[in-house]
Amino acid sequence: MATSGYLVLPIEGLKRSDRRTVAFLTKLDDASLNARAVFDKLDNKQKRTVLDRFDHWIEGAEGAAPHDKYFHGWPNNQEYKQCFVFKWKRGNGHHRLYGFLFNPQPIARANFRVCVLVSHAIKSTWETDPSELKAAKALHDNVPVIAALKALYPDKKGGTK
Amino acid sequence: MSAGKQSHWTEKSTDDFLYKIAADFVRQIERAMDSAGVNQAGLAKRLRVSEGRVSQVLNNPGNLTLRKIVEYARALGRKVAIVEYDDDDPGNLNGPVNSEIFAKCWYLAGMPSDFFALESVAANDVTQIFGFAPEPFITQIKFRRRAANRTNAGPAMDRSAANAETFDITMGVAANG
Repeated sequence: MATSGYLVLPIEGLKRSDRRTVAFLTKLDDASLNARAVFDKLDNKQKRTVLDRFDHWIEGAEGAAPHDKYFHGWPNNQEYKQCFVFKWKRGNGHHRLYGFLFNPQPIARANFRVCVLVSHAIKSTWETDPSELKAAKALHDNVPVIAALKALYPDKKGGTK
Repeated sequence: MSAGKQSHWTEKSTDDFLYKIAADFVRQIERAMDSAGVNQAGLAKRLRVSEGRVSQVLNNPGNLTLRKIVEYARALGRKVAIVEYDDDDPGNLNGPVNSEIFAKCWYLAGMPSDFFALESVAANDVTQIFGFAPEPFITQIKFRRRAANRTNAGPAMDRSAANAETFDITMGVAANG
């Protein structure tokens, strides 16, 4: 499968679940896919804060109040319903890891979702920058990205995707 | 997919494990605050500390002490238990079980407050329990909620469970595959 240089990297050490997991999308010549690079450089305290939030989502928590300050999607927004964000605060900086939800194994595991993280941003407010969501949505629909996801999480044969 | 036997991130240090279980507790407190309509300022008033102090504690779970845990729970009219358990994961491949799951199981079991009440639940309503961990155990349990328990349901209890006459919990845990 041609993945055009896209690589999906699972995050080691997270909870194991048949329903959810979190991974990073990278590409050597695309600096905008910086989620993994930023995560790797976090200090230990920030890293465990973020790992805890990944785990909490994997455990089955939904990004509803009062916990939408940790992560949430946009399920009621038709355009960005597959987009997702993890959040944490450091000093006055509001950190975001943006990505999208995708099921690469619709036959083997119909309820499985990978949260594919693509970009990092620091905001001065809690408001979301739509350009981040547009970029995540574009990657969700990108054929080589889908191929890279299916290469990492192969489905049973017989699917149409 | 990584199929290795990578330990969970909380296995790296006691501080990491402590952070995870403290963060789970903070989320329970935040949910309790939300359902009681208490904000950080309100909680600070009850605790007789500054709002900044409450914010600091809730945003830095790793610094929580057992004393603080009790104080924060009691300020909201709640209680705390320290639970030890064997989930057949001695290498900690999957991290700690979220404390909210233990709480929900307790609510679902009719909130037994002593071993006699628990025995009563087991004698009357549990259909099948096989052995104990790490052996393959509980396959399916059927609890029947008594009318009296419905009025005692705690505020954090799931509404659908509170209204149910009977409900099944599947707790499939198979040791060694």
